[in-house]
Amino acid sequence: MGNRRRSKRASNRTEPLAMTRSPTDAPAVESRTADGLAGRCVRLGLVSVIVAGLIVGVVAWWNPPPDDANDRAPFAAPTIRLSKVPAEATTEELEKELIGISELLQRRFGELPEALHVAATVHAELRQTRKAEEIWRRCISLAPTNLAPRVALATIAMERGEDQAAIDALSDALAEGHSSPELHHHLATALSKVGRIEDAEQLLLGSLQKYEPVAENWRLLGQTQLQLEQLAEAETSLLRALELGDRSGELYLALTSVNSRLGKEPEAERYREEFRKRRAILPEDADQPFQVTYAAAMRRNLVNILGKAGAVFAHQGDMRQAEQLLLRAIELDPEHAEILRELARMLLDQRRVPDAWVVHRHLVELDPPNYLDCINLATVATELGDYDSVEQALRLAMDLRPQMALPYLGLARLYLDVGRFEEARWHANAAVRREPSLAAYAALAAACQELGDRDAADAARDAAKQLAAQYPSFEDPPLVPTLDPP
Amino acid sequence: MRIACLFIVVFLLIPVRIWADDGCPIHLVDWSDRSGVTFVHTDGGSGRAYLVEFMVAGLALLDYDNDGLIDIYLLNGAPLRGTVVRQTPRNALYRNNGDGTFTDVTERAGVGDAGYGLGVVAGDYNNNGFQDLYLNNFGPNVLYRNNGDGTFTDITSQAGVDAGDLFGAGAAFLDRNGDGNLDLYVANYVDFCYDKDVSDMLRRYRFYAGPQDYQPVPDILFGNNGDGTFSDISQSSGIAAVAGAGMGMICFDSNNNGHTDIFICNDKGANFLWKNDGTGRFREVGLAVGLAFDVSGSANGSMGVDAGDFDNDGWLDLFMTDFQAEMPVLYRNLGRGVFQDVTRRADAGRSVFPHVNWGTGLVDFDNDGWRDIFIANGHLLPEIEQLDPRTSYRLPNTLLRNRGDGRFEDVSDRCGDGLAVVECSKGAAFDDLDNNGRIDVVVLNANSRPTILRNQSPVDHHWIQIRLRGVTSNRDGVGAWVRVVADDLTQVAEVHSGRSYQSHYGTRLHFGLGHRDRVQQVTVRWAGGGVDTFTDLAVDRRWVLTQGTGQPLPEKERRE
Repeated sequence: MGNRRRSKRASNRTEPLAMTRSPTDAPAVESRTADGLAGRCVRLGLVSVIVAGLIVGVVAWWNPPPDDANDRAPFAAPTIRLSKVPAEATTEELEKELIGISELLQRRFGELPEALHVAATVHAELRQTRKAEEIWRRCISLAPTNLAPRVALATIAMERGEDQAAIDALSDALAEGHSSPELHHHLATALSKVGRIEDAEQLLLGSLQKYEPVAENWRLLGQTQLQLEQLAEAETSLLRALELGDRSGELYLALTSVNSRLGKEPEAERYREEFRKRRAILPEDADQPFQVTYAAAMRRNLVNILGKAGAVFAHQGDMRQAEQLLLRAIELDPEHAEILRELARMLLDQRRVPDAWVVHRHLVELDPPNYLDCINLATVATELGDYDSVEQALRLAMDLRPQMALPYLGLARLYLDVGRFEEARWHANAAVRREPSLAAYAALAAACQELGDRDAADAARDAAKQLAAQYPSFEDPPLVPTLDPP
Repeated sequence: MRIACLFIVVFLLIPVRIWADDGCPIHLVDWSDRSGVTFVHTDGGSGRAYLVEFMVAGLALLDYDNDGLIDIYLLNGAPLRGTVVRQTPRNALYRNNGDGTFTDVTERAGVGDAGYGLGVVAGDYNNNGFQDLYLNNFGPNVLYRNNGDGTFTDITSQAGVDAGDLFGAGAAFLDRNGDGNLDLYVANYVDFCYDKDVSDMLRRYRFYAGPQDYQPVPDILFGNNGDGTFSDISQSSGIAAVAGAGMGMICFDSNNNGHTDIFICNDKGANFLWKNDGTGRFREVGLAVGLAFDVSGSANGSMGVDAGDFDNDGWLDLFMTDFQAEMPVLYRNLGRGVFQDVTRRADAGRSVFPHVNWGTGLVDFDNDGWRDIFIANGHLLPEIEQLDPRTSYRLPNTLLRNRGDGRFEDVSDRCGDGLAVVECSKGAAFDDLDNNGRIDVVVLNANSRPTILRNQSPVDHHWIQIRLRGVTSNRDGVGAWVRVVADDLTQVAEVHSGRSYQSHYGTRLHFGLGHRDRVQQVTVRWAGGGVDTFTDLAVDRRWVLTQGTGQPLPEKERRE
């Protein structure tokens, strides 16, 4: 029945999907009924995907086309449009808008610490530190256990040169049981600034035992040990930061220094060169006139604040206001991927799938495109029945991460649904080669079955069975209905 | 009543340092009103916020008439485009009367240049025994030759050191190749002129543009031909290879190899260390030796700099002042001319983090044998408090006392009323103005009178001061490296010509000795070669050490 449905849908399509890859042959094996085994394969297929740690689960993103196109709830046309060109705004307008957001947050959520935190951040960004402090103090009075305002107040104290005040505030937080890598980082920085280098080192050593993979803290530890003349320890810490992905100029400078002092001049020169490269790249606006850099910084601040304020409104259920704020952020920075993703999530939560599709397509068109954005677009496009978009998105995902099985599996399922079984088999095989999951074997078995290659279908099912034996605890996963028995 | 309220509000807005002397061994008294110095600086601005306005200027402390008393030369601004003045502002020379007062001798001496003064250095370029003055201006520079009779002659053109019409900064004399003649390094800031002005607005306030708005201009090195003239050797010496937005500078021997290197503070760019290969050719090695950036790899807005051995390990360290929201940087010389930012470990200046800081000196104020740090503070923008309440345009200055254990303590609020003065301070210079064996302070303040601080520290520590007399080396011993041994205390110092923020001071070396009452040995390594040793010098005296003699002579003070 399922096969018939798929064939019908395929015939209904006016234009078959483009095929850019050649299918490969699978061995011909005797066909068996898919009943029972197929069901198990399907159940365990989901398990395999989960075990493989795919961020976007097959079931989550792959909602197969409905039984009949007429059964599908009609989707409205998109209501949002996204510009690709940043909206113009003067520095004064940007500043005014920032203040406006702070006022809005305080007016609407005057008793809500997270809203006030964002409002205080606005004033801190504008160097209106007294106002920022006033609001953060209110945050603390409303939620004494909230760490963020306390760290923020400590940061302001440090910027004013009042490091001891910062140390006191952060130490109190620590004594009250707060613990986070950020708290440790700020406290260690403050301790270091007042010359309590040994205390900073001890704090960081303790922190890194608890929160090991934090590159910033390894770097700070290395810098601290460098100050303490513990050169070998400093080198180890700095290299760990490098291992964890820190590529900052600060790290390379410290590595240069430590290697130079250890007499390892070739290494020192190598790190020096890396540092030079970063110096040449990092200050992207270093040669820009002040007004340009200031306006750019103000725009970045506003976009970030709009994003944070949008999240507050969304959390409080005012989706309309949240959407307005996020859309304004995107107007100012059409390439802000995080905010675009947040908006897409929000729209999907409201079941505004066509609008979410617009946002996801915008994300995929960013340069460079992101693999997960492609997968997400495929998901949304599937829901809309827009198979061309599904195919394009999955092919782009394949180009971006050719080693990943998920796009191949997705295409295999798409081709199964539209009756292009040869292509489905080729892509299912490709998925199996990349990651032999139950779902991939299931798709392969189904494609072979449709092509009349029963031996190959059975072989795929056997392989699935063997794989399934490894995950006996998942007895009753949700059904993936593309492998309904005939 | 309204006026009274206004006064209260204004009073509350001005940063005030409440002074409480609770046992601090350093005591600096504000002597400005009693000094007779009436000079008032002007930045020449009229609200247009030209870039040059915020640079203000340095000053020089020198003994121009060889009377054994340190005199004061103050740079002034000049009217910028659009500024109307009744009286043309000029630089001023104040002669030290020896009684705590000074007399304006500018006119008689002929050093009242009306150009826009930014940097100044004193040095005896012609080895005639009298210190000459070089002014690094916004516009044509000036070389004043000291005639030895209390007058000077502008010989810029004859000497070939006018350097064109540039935006000057610091300047320094050095003997780059040990030939006994002082060469001249002229730092330049950026390629600014009225037509290229890019003044900005920030929240309805005029806001100064920064170095990023203009192209940097290469510095210039003039080689001394030995006949009273100079040649531009920037290309052949390697100096022209790179350009930065130069500000303060100092020439010093970074690796104790007997050759003078050149350190340049660059505004928002990597600092330069020009390493001397011994023949007078230079290679820029700032990054390689750890002086280009601070510990975070940041290119700070470097302003002023001094070199001195803060930890008495025999190597000259550097202290550098920076822009707002940047720590000043104490670079410790680890030996071999490799430096490490130890600011945090030494606690050297975190209290000035919110402020812009300029002139500086590594100076032993309490004669305990450990060099303290003076920092001059002041912002660029009179309206800065409206934009950033963490700092102010006018601020008290900062004094960090060296505890002798590698760390400093901020004693600004307990070392006398001298550190309670609130001004927008820029250039700062240090010498013993009253010859009482304690180092005094002169600070040039933007659009205001200078601050003169007399050191009246209540300590009975001993000291010696040394003036060098070169014979084959340059006459004032610029670049000479001096080691003083007093019992368990060994100190080193070097004669620098040009330091701090575009200023000059310290031709006469000063060593605090604590309670040690005898100096066993003084070793002088002269620029250009040759080492002399002088033994058994009495303390609490000023000495003249002449090259090749081995015999210390007491310096005489000649008061009229």
